[in-house]
Amino acid sequence: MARDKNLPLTETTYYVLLVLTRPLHGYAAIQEIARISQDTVKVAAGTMYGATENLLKLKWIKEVPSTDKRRRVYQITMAGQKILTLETARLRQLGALAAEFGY
Amino acid sequence: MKKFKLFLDLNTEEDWINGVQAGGHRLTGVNPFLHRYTFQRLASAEDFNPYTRLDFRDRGLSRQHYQDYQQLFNDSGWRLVTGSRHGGIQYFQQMSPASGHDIFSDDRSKQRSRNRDSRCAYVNGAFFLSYFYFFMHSSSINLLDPRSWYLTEGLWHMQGEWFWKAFAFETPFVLLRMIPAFLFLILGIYYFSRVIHNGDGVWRKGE
Repeated sequence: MARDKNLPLTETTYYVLLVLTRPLHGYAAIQEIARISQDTVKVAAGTMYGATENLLKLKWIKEVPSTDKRRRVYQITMAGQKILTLETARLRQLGALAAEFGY
Repeated sequence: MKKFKLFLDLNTEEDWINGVQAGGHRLTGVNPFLHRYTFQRLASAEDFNPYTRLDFRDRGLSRQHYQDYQQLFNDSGWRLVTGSRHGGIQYFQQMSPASGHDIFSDDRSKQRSRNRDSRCAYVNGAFFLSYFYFFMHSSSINLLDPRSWYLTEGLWHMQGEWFWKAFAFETPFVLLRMIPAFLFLILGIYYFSRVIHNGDGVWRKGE
């Protein structure tokens, strides 16, 4: 089976898509990623801005109305959910494979 | 303290700024046209000595989007020193040691900002050099022969007062013609030097 050419995702992309399951602005996404990763993943501002810009272009996330005029808010799209599902399946498969090897 | 300096890539420029800052200074402003950097001496050695980091925007942002861009950096503890919503280099400075050392947390996103700079330099270089090329080819002007810069018929055969009058009359027009031509040639060479110096980033796919 041919793999989607956008896979594998970078760790930053994976986390950003994951936390944008609910609508968040850029910095809220950075904080949420730090929280769910127990402070192991700290996305810097330039990297976050580049990631959202890129994901908007791919149409994996969309901008949703924001109550705060100074901060744009984003949320995952159907296409984004589809790619996240594919990537998660790939990671699960890797995990299962590693288990077979005793890791 | 003001310093003038020309750089061919963002990393060298960033390292130079942080090197000057390490000597007890803080960058307070950049004039991107004159390549002039203004530094302020830290009041005391104990003062917080911030890092300055460079991002590059290749296309203009609306006022609202630029505000959102700056706000994201502010929220993360970075202050914009100099930058324009119409694109170009954006200089950010740490607001406190808690801000982290960099505005990029992976090499890929940093490289992408460098590629945007390189691509922009390529477009600018091509624009300036093609202007220069068409200018040279649409006229009888020879860059190395100042006499050919004057288009008045028979100017160089005139005598005495007639010559000086005609010469003085045309000189302002010659300057208006030649200064842009030389400027465009220099800018074209500068931008292409940036592209060559930055390597193959321009041709790589992606953002």
